[in-house]
Amino acid sequence: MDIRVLDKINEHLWEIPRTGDMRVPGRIFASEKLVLEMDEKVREQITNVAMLPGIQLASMAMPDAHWGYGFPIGGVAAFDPEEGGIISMGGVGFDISCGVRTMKTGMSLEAIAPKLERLVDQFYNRIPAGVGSEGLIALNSAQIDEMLMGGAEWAVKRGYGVSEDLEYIENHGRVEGADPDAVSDTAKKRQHREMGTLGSVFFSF
Amino acid sequence: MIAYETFEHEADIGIRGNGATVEEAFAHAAMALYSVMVNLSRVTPIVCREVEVEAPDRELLLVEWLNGLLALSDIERLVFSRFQVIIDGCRLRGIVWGEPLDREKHDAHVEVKGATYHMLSVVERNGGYSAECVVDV
Repeated sequence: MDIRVLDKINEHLWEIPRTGDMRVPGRIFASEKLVLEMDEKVREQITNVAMLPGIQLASMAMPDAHWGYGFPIGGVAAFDPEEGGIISMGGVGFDISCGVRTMKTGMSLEAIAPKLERLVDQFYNRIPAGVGSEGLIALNSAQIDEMLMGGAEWAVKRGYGVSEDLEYIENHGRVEGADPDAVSDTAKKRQHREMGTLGSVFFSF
Repeated sequence: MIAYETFEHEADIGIRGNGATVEEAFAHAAMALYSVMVNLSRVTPIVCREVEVEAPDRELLLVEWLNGLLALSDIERLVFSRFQVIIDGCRLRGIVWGEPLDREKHDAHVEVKGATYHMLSVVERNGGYSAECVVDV
């Protein structure tokens, strides 16, 4: 990205000044090195997001920002419904959190580092992913409805997690009033064999 | 004119089908879609299925068509390599040929999760039609 068009706020914060239809400025949280490596599209997309109705304070980009759909990936913005704020079905794309997980292992970096490659290989072997992958969990239609209503609580009840896990998930991983009838039969049939898989995947570490 | 091709989009992949008619462009767009997932030349067209979709305009019809195919592929574990498309107003009927997915044989690489409205267009180009959109991988 051309750094000359940005205002430097501090070592790790850069501003895209308000111009044209921008309602708020753009703000990029990154070092100079990272900003220089960012695609010009990130600036364009951050600028576009800054024009959306109801946006508050700033259209922001995190240090990992790169070209997405509407938002850049790594883009952050808050919208106030009282000011006509928008809700986007697919701000950065349509598969947010596509297999990205942070897990606490209780192990030190020194213990894991030498075995990292083998660990990744094991993940790859054990987690069904990619074209035509199938999970080990087969649900009938009544069970799919239970899963849709129960969310993460359902998974914990079946032994795929521990109750403490729910404490770290928004609304305990369950949407109140979820209506399985709102999901089409086609979508449920697609889910049937994909439970417990990651879909398509590119592993990166 | 190339029948079908893919194009770069940083976060995902774009697919494009060209043809003398909208129907042919849609059939070629489906080939572009499956070429993202498997090696098309290795898919033997021995199983036949029908896909019927509806949409208010031809751009949306393209998305419905491609997503209809993906749903069928997902549910029946089939991949397709031959496509015939008949469009009547807002309705599309597709007759498609393929076979059960074999990850080794078909050289399966990446799974497409859905066709999107991003860069979606069905336009006249070079005396024919071009149908394209970005697909979510």
